[in-house]
Amino acid sequence: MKKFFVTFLVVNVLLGVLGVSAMSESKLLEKLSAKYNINGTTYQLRADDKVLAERYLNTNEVSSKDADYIASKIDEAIEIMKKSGEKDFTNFSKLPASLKKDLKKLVQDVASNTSVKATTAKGVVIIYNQDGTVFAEITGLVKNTGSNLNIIVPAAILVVALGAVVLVKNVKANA
Amino acid sequence: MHKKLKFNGKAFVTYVAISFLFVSIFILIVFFGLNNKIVRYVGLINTIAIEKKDNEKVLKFDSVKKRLTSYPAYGSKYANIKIEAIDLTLPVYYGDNLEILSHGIGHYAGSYFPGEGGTVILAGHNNSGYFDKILELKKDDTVIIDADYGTFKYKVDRTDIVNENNLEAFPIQNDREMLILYTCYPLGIGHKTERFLVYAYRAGDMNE
Repeated sequence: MKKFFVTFLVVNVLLGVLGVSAMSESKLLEKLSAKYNINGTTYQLRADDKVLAERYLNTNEVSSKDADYIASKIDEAIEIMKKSGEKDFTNFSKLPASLKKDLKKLVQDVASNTSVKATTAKGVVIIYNQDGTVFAEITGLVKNTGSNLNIIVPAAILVVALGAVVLVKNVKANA
Repeated sequence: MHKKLKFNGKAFVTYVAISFLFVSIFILIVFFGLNNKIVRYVGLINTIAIEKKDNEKVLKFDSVKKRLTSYPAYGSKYANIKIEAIDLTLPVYYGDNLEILSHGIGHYAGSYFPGEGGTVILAGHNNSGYFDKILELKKDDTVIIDADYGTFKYKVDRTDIVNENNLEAFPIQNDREMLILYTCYPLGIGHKTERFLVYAYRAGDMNE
């Protein structure tokens, strides 16, 4: 949920850009890096979101009709955010419930009415390619890479230790 | 006349307990004695199985634009990472969710691919046989990414230990090709708040 807003921008900005067919690649990249000023705070796509956006552009084609629709939803989203009076949109989960509902509806509108599909589950946003395969899962950059040691091994250690205790007790009892 | 078999509960429990003990000892011998080999063989089996599936999608690299013309499917293997200095060879998958990381090394989707001229971020568990040994890497050690579309060589520049929330330690840029390898620190089971990072820079492809 945290990245919902960012994902919304990624998906929408990149598709909004596609609506302008004559745009050169450098202008396109410029547009992807555009800054949005909402209630005094400036927002910009993170570098990793920009990489994803560019990759989506390279691998998926979007009709100008879809692009226009999404562009209108971007304007709508920015308008809603401005009217809310909120200044910090970096953490979606901390936004007021009504605002979250409105923003989620916009994303759902995009998913329902265009070829761009995205779902959210357990805090993970999944963006799909137009052929239905997963394009990417949007989670945090840094992952938990602690040992994924199987529970069987600690259990085996415990069993062997218990076995040793029983053995020692039996030896002592028979001595 | 048949003798009636009498069920001896105590003996049964003893036999089960002894069997359990032997199985546990066997598991421990296998885990601690053959762990590295198991990781390697499982990786090899995964590689064979997944390569067979992924071969349907041929990856091509546009060397002029420095960009892949088609990308691997999310969750599929597209490369092997080879680090001779620590005797490591592991499969690299596109994506880095928990499922992917249980098979090998994960490529963060928001980073560039090898050859694209930007930051490549690879994550691996700190288990034995995975990324535990990257802690031993030193300056100028060679890291090779043998991808389906080309082979890329990197030289280790430095290592660092950072808090997991320090995103500045993972600069995503496309001015210079760099490789960041990371794993949880310190080693061991459970959630770790620090990460051990290895920064390496592109040293050319294998033909250079």
